[in-house]
This record gives sequence, C-alpha cells and structure tokens, in this order.
Amino acid sequence: MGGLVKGLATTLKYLRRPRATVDYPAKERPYPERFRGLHILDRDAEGLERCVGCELCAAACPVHCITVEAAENPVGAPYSAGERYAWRYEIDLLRCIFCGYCEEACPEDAIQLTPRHDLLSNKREDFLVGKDWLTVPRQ
Amino acid sequence: MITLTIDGKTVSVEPGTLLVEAARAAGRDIPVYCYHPKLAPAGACRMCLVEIEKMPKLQTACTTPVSEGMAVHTTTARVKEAQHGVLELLLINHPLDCPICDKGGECDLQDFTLRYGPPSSRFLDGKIHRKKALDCPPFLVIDEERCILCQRCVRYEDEILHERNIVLIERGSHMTIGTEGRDDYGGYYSGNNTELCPVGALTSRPYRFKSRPWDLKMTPTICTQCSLHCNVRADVRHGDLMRLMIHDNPQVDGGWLCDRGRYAIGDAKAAERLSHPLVRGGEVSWDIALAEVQNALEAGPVAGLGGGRLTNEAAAAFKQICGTVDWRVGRQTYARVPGVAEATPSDLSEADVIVLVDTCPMEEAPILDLRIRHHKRVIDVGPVPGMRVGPAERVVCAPDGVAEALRGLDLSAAKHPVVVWNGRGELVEAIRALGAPVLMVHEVANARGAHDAGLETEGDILAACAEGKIHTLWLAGANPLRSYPADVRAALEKVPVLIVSDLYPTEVTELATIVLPVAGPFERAGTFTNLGGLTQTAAAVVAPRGLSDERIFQRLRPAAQPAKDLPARRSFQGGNLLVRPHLWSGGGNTRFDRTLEAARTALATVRVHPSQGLAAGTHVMINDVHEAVVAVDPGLHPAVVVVPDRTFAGLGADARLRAVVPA
Repeated sequence: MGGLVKGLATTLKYLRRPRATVDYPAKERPYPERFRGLHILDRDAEGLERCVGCELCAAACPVHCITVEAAENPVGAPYSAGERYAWRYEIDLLRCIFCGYCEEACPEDAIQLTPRHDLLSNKREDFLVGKDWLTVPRQ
Repeated sequence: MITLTIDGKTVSVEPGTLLVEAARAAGRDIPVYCYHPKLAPAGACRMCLVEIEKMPKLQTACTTPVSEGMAVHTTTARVKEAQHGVLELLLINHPLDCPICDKGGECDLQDFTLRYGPPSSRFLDGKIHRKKALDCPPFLVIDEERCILCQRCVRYEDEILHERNIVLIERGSHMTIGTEGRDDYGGYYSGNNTELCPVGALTSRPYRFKSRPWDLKMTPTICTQCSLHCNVRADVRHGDLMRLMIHDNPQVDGGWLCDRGRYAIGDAKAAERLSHPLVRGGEVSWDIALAEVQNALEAGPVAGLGGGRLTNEAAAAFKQICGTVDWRVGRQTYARVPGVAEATPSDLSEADVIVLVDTCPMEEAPILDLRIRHHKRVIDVGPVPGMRVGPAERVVCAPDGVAEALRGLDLSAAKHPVVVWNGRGELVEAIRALGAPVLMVHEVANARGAHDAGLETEGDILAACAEGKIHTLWLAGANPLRSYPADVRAALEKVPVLIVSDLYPTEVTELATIVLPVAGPFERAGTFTNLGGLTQTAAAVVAPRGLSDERIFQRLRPAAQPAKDLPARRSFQGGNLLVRPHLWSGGGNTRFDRTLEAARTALATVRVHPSQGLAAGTHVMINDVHEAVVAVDPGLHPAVVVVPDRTFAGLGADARLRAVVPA
C-alpha cells in the first residue's frame, strides 16, 4: 500500500514539470554549433565549389566511406578555382561514423560537418549521397 | 674493395662508388633530388650534403667517390642545418599546391620536407609565379612553378636519349625547363620524364587528376605492345588500369618505357569494343556461339591465321584446335634465322659493332633503340635509315639490293658483333653469311612465342582461301586486310565460315560469320616470349570483357580436318613504295584509343628523298587515293617512297606522288 502511494506521488510530481521531449519533427531541439552531423560541400565567395578533388578526406577517413574522383576543370566554365575539381564525390552515410577527420584533413574547408542530424529513409541507396546532395546551393 | 664508415657503420664497396650509393649499402638513406642511379652525377640540388671527417666543409654525397678509411656522418647537427636550409630555399618559390598536384603522395619534395625540412617558412615576400599546366603534346604537362631545377629530365634527354627535347631555358632566377623552339615534345620517350621528375613539374596528360598513389593497386606485369616485353607496374583503381610505371628489368628494358608502351592503354574502355559474340551479325550467348564454332570446325578443311598476339598457352591451344595455323599475316616471314645464334637485348649493350638490316628499332621496339643509339659503330644497311638518333655508317641500297649490300660487309675485325633484323624479305642466307648473332625484332608482340608453339605452315593459307580450299578460317587477333602486303578481301569473302576473335569491330569482323569478343591486354594472364627468347608472365590486372583466347580454345574440340596441300607462299618484292613500321601505326589498341590522337597525327606522312623535288610539308596525293604530308629524308634511297604501316590501304606496289593544295 505504501509503495502504491509513493509511486503515485512520483507521477504527480513529474506531471507538474515541463516535458523532457520535444514534438519532433514539428519542433527541433537546438544542437551545439560544433556538433558533428551530416556533411556539406561548401562553396567559396565566388560561388565556385571549394572542393578540388584532392582526396585527402578519403585518405583520412577511418571507415573508407568517401569516394572521390577528380578531373580537370573545363576551360571557361570551371567548377572550382584552379585546375582540378571533383566530378564524383560520394559518402556512404550508413558507414560514416561522423568522426570529422575528413573536415580536419580538407585543405580547402570544402567538406564540413553540420549540426543537421536527421537521417531517414527506408531504402539503403538513399544513404549513398553524391555531389548533388552534398554541395550547398549557389547563393 | 674500399672500406669506409658511414655513421659508425663499416661498409666495403667497389672503388669509384659514390657516397650516396655506399650509404644505401650501409642502410642509410641520403636524401637526393638531382642524383639518379642511371644518370651522371650533377651536384645541382645540394640536398645530399654530408659531413666527412678531415674535410672542412660539407660535401655532396652524390658527387663524392668513396676513399679508403673515409668517415662519413649523415645525421650531425651541421648536416641537419644544411638540409633545413636547402629545403627552405627549394620551397621559397614552390607553389605548395600539393592538393591538386598529380605527384602528391609520391613526391620527394613532400617526403623530404616532412623528414628533414623546417616546419614552416620564414620567407615573407611573394612567390615568383610562372606558367602552370603548360601542355607539351602529346603526353606531357609542364608546371614551371613546381620545378626545383634538379635537371634530371635535362640529363636524361641528353645522356640516355641524345635528343634534348627538354632543355634548360633562361638563366638565374628566370631559369625553367621546357622545349626549345617548338611547342610539342617530339620524341617517343617522354613518359620517363614524369617518373624521373622528383616533384610535380612534369606530369602525364593521360593520367592527369585520375587518381592518387594511395588509391592504386600495383601489380608487376609486362607490356605486350612490341616484341621486347618491357616490365611494367600496372596501377589499377576501381578495376580500371590507370597508368603503367617502370618496373626495372636490366635484361629487358633497362628501366625505361616508351610512350606507346606507357600510354596506349586507353582503348580498354573504348565504346567500340565488342561485348557479345555475334553469329551472322546477331548477338548470341557464348554457348550458342561456341557451338556454331564447333560445327564450323567439323564441317570441312580448317585453317587459322594470327596467334602472334596471343599468350604462349593460347597460341599452343590455337594450333591444337585448328591444326594448320600461321602467325604470319604481315610483312614478316622469319621469326628466327636457322643455324645462327640468337642475341639478347643485353648483348646489344656489350656489342662493338651493330648491323641494322633494313630495320628501324626506334619504330619497331623503341626501348631496344636506347641500347643502340649511344654506340660508336652502327652499320645501317637498307633503303630507309634505321638509325634515327646517333651516328651510323649508312649503306644505302635499293629495296632489292639489301642481300647484295650485306655481302659487301666484313665483320671479321669485330669482337662482338650483333645483327638486328625484322625478318622481312629473303635475307636469311646473306645474314647467316655475316656469322654474327642475330636479334630479331618482330612485327607482332609474341611472334617468337608463336614460332616456338609451331604456328607456322609451309604454304600460303590466304592463297588457299582464294582457291576455295578452306571451309573455315579463324583469324585470332589478326586483320590481314590491314597488315597483309596484298589485297586479300576476295580471298576472305570466298571462305564459307570466317571466325574472328578480336577486341574491336574491324574490316574483318564485317566479313566474319562468327565474331568472338576476347579479353585484351592486362585482362588475361599467360606467358610471352620476347625477341631474346626470354619467357615472362603477364598478369591479369583488370576484369576481362569477353573470354580470354585460352578459355575459348579450352571449350572446343580440335578440327576434324586441318587444311592440307596449300599453295606455295608468295613473295612481295619490287616497286618503289616501301611500307615501314611506325610506332603509332598499330592495330586496334592504338586505333581506338582517344588519348593517342595527338600522337597519331604524325602518321599521315610520306617520306621521300630530296632529289624528288618535293618540299617538306607539301600536301600530296599518293596514287590519287590518299592525301599525305611530305617529310624529306636525305638518308633514303633516291627512288623510294616510304609510308607508315597500316595507314594507307590499297596503294599497290608503286607510288606516284602529286602535289595538291590542302582542302
């Protein structure tokens, strides 16, 4: 009998407190700015891709989830500043452990990990993301 | 032997050994840029400074020979300070664009900076900017900013090639490397520069930005473009062949590769490549195609042509299946000179007299030419000069006078003569009379292996086809419509069943009843025998498209009745038109390789003697059929006209040139 009262008292106590969960996805909890979530490929001030396809991110990646293939920038319509750009940039998000080594290795600050973390799909292929998904849109 | 100590470790080396090599023997690595074991020492980069006891100043290890009792220190504070200083100066104007540099990951400047260099630069002024990504067709890209002026390329061009395609330009702080007086490279051996270059100043156009060294799976194998079979390292990424690198074999290639061997690999992904077996033009499965082949093998007299491009194993199987087989589908008749000793590539380096019998090694086996061109005495017999670079005694003769000219030679004074011949024409008796070992240069890569496997017949298979004596003719990696000296279209059309196994659609696949797509080079394993008789293994480094020749033959039973009673072989002499090998005039793999277009522009040329009165660069029509550009060559026999192999079809035995204005 005593246990029943004690349990009910705990329930009543918590009923008056604010809720610990948020109404996701209608509301989102703020994440720390330096949280290592989903990746982006950034653009420079001129709107060109920062990535030059050097593959250092892929070399630094401990789980080999990044595949980069580079090519020479087309004359007159370059993708990135300089001679070289990545025509293929793929991340296997299911394999990624969000360690941030790619961000650290990048000499151009092209790949960045953002606080975004919502990773949802019922198809495996959707987690293999390419340049179109990663590259931030032109401003 | 001389005994010295390096960092307290005692080593004994041959007199004359350089300190840098002695240190390697002692297990000490001295950093070097300008030093290369195959080049003469230069002492240009100052990276190899070491401290030698009793010498007041630091010495360059790459120019100092060892002496008895020498005590060398490579890691003292003075040496480290010098290495710091040298690297700091080398990096002053270096652009540090490692992320976009093809050398990144295998660059000596990166490696030594990490190992011996200062952590940061004290230099505050702006760097000197120079030309970057400068195209040097057909295959090189020059980056003047990255160059550290070690002069390895310049010395290679001078000492190994004797060509000086790349030289130093300007002086002092304006000094760069480049081509002088022309925009293109102009030689056959440019790719070696990209491997000699310790930084990213000379890189390859076909490999540009394709991969990083750490992505590559590296497998040693051999090149099968010509009959020399240079050893290569095949670098594969994502299942595709990215590049070929030197894999030094002193017996064969001496540590160099020609541009065709290195760069003619872009055809494997060509859109034209055959992917499915075809029977009478329709795509069928392998089972159906091979059943059709088996029926054809049992329906009547069978003969096979080709096999000089197959592995030894596949060639032997080809012989077993078809019975009557001949690898000779071009101008070459002999793979050996019976009764004469066979020379090897190493013999060329030791020879005191080399006789070139109407043969141009630079076009037919380019790396062999690097062993010939520095020789003091080369006797070059024939209507066309065989020696392009380096001194030679020319014995000019008419196309049918080579045997006569050879009889006029006296080699009795020579201690170690070597005769080089490409097996064309009836010269066996005259060559045997010279009494010297012979090195045969073959028209197709594995001619020597095919010869050993018995792929030769007395008679003429194509003539038998024309007479209707053959029911089934199998062409294995052969295209007589391009390689045979006479027009044989009518003979091939007369064959009831023509089987073609090849990689690409060609003139003969159009005539074929059954077409079998086969695995290409680097897609099939097997052994090949080179022109010196050395048998080496080729590795399969990428997945095959199609079955390998060997696999196809394994799934078949031998022919019921191999062709017999063939007509006698024809001989092709006479006429002023000489068709000669050209490095870029090969079969499928160079025809369908888009990356080679810049190199192949040199093909549409016709060489004439100045006495014919045509100026170099004139556009002419040959026999009113083909247009070509004139190149004037005073070394030619005055009457002859020389065109590259497999470039102009249907010209006949004589050539008439008519100058035209280009359209």
